[in-house]
Amino acid sequence: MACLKIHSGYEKGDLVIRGEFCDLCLECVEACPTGAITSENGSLSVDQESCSECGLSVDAWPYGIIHLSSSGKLLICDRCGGSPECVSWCPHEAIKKEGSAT
Amino acid sequence: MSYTGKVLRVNLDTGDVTKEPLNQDWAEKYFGGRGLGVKYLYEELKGGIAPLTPANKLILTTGPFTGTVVPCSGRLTFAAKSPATGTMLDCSIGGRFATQLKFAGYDVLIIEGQAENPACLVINDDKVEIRDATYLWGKGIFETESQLGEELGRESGILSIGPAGEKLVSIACIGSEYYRQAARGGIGAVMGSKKLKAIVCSGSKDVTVPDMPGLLKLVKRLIWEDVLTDTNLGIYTDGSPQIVDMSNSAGVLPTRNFQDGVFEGASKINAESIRRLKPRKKACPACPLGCGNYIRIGDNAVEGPEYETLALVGSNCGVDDIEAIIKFNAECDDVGIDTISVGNVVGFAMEMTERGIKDFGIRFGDIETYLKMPRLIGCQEGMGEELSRG
Repeated sequence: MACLKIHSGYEKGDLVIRGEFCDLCLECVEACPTGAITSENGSLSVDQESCSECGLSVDAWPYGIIHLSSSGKLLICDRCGGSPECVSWCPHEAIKKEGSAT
Repeated sequence: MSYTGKVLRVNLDTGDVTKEPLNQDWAEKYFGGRGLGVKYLYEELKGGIAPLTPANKLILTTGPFTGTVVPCSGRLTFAAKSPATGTMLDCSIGGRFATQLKFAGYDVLIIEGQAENPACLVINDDKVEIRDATYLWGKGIFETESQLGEELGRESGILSIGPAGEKLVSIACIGSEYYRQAARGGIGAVMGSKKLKAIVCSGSKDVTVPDMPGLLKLVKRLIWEDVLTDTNLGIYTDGSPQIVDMSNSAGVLPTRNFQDGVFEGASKINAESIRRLKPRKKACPACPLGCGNYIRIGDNAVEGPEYETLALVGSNCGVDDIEAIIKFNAECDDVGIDTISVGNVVGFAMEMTERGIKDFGIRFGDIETYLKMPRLIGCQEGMGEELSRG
């Protein structure tokens, strides 16, 4: 699914670790010409029926966390419906969820 | 299990590349990368061959779970006949090569023969090429990696040897991701004897498991209940340097060529002194513990130093200067030799000199001469030539 992408490695011997994740910038919502991606209550959803597989939202977020699968399904970060799995999996609490509804 | 069921065999004599089925029976009976590699070696290698001849094989194996989220499953194992011991050798390395090999579609890579000219093996899924590497021959591991990373992509898994491996020094290592090594037994010399400077692998295939939701559930439980336990977390917080204090208090810390087991400078080379240098953590794929301590001091960077380096390069040479140890460590990583073996040899040369048995021109704690040793030994220059024989 890859809603989160971690780059970890050495560039000319220097350690570079970078995490790319959905910060709800909503660029994809704006880029989508058919209105298939919607944002509601801090999470994104896709109406696969309306998706025309144009790939514009994939390009709008160039870091590889929006994917068009080989079967044409648009895969986005839906924040796992409000309780992100990446946060609960990270063994050293490097990923935190911000702005949780109280 | 994440077996792809395929073995990639590359013959450097003929340039032939073949893909054959994995011996599934062996994979199950000799479970894990080490068992499988040793089984292939045992079955395929003729008895009595010399380790640094084309008849030796360099066998790289991944594990049964490599490429999945199973904790700590990302290591790569090497098997060959050792030029240091004359018998079977296996050693392993972290970094991303093993997962890339799996994503390229192979469980095992077997390298046979000897290239005519310096070569670089480039694997990109089904496309396997033996390229000329004359332009890289003679270069250190750091420069080799930087160059190959730029040419073939920094996300690739890269294994390479330095001048020590090229010169068939029997304590030469293979390096990957700059600061990680498969170091023991002279595996770098075996690669050098094949005139193979580097192996670069990138894969784009999926590793599939039969029951993904079930695996995720199991792995999540394992990570929190069995891997990230209080005892294991020492590997994350301090890593192996915590053993320095333990060894010293038990009286078994190699000191001045093993003449003593207690080092008066132990508190300057222990986990606490490394913590002061504020290392950054670097994990290998699928490892929740992440033992890598990335430390940069000026021009020198290392992942470590690990306990074995602190003990053999530090106390065993009578050196309690942590920055000097890091510099020595970085030199070894670049020239491509095993820090453990080098520390051992240098400590021996120091004692021989002090006892007046043979003058190697180096004494315990003589940091200036000591820092020249990795390059002298790795490149077989001056007194390093004799010492390079281990």
